[in-house]
Amino acid sequence: MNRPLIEYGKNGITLDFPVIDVHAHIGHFGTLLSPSLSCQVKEMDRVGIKSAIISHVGSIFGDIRRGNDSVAEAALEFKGRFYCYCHVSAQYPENIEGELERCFKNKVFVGIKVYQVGTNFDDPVYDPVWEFAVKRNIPVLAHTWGGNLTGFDKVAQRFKSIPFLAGHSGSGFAYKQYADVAKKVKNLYLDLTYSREHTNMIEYFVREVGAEKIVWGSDAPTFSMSHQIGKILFARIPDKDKIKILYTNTSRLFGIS
Amino acid sequence: MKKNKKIVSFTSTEEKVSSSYVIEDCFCGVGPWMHRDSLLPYEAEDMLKLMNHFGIRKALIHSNFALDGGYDVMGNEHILEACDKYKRRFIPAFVVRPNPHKGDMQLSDYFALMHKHGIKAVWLAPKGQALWVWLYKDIVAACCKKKIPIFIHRDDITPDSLYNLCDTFPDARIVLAGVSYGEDWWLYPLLRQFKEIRVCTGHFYIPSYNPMRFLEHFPATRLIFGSGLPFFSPGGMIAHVTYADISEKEKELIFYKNMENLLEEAQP
Repeated sequence: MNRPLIEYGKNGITLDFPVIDVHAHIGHFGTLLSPSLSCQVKEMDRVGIKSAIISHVGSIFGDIRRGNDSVAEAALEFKGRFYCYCHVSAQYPENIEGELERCFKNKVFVGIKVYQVGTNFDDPVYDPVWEFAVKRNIPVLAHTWGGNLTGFDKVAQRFKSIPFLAGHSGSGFAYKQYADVAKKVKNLYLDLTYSREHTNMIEYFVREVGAEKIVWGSDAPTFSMSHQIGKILFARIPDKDKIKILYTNTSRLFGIS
Repeated sequence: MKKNKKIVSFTSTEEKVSSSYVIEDCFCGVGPWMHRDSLLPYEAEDMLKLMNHFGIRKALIHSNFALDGGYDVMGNEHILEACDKYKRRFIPAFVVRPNPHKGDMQLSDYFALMHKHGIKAVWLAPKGQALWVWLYKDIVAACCKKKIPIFIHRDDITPDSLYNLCDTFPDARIVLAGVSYGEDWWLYPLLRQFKEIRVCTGHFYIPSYNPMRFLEHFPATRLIFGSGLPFFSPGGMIAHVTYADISEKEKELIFYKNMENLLEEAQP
């Protein structure tokens, strides 16, 4: 790193320190055709994103096993560029334990992804997920929205030994709710993946909860990675905090170096 | 609860642009508005400081107050004042409405004022997505005649209402702001049919593999850089273009030349 990080963003210069995208996907969203994997890797190269931790869009939409298989294949094809979340859903409780056991036999799986699909995260049906995560020391990323964590903060308080990442922190401009929860729950981290980059919000989060509790994700291929990383590169926070958000925190939490 | 500290305070309002790209923002609101969140800046000076931080040379500014439902005459006055004070950085755009009452601004009044002040862009703000052709036809016809670009926010239209407007006025130079990342399914067919519609990048027209994919379908002349300030911070959108795998010429078009060309051709 030989210049302020904002200069990289202003001039489109490839980042020359490792960046890990903690929240990305592969697969197509409805009518939104995603770029090919090689195209996605090309964008990662252009921006300077070393690795992305991915779950499959198909899993979100219910085809869980096939989605988990696809992310594993992607990680195998692009070694070191993709790591995987095992996606499980409370709507298919009968498959949770088996899918976790099956996926985590493969070392490319480094986290668990859960989505808000109607069952609150503190519902007992999710307990096998948290218990598995604690047993294996695996971080959990949840899709949350608009400051409503639907019990994710409560399970984080119950299972203190593992990191809980609240996806889309700040969504719906509900920045206060997210900051308050992150301040209260020690093992809950804010994942900044969000399409809308509200003015002063990242600066607010850093000031209120500290850069150590914030991680960065792109949500690609929903959003462009370059847009998502730009909001950090241009943020009015010290560069050392940007590096924590873009790399150090995720590296530490997931054991990816 | 802690009060929000004012964050925008460490750069000056003096022009200070360090980017290798010239950037002009077509989607920037100035002034107070009813539903403001205390985290968001609004004063002209705050916008200038932010523009300096992000390397934005100029901004086409509209009234937050008027777009949020306030009386457009008051909002437009505020814009004139800000542009008068910071001539080199701000370009004014007027919010124009089809007013029903005698004594209120009529179309001829708006255009007389726009002529007087050299206003080359208008924003429409139809409440409840009421972009009805029969209601807006006079305004749009006048804008077509004078080649004045018409800015409109995605939240203020339905794809169908925009289609109807463009079908009646295919020459209307529409700049559609606030389009979401997931709207290509109706946007692309509309853009194919009406060549005078442009898309503003702000705030979140950020589908993955854009702007490359957009340029596979449409020329770069149809994508215009806009941030969505003060609601949205421009950093992500700037990086979205600077990191794009497109030519430097296309980046220039998106960042500023498209807007400059549109405004140059307008005859208020």
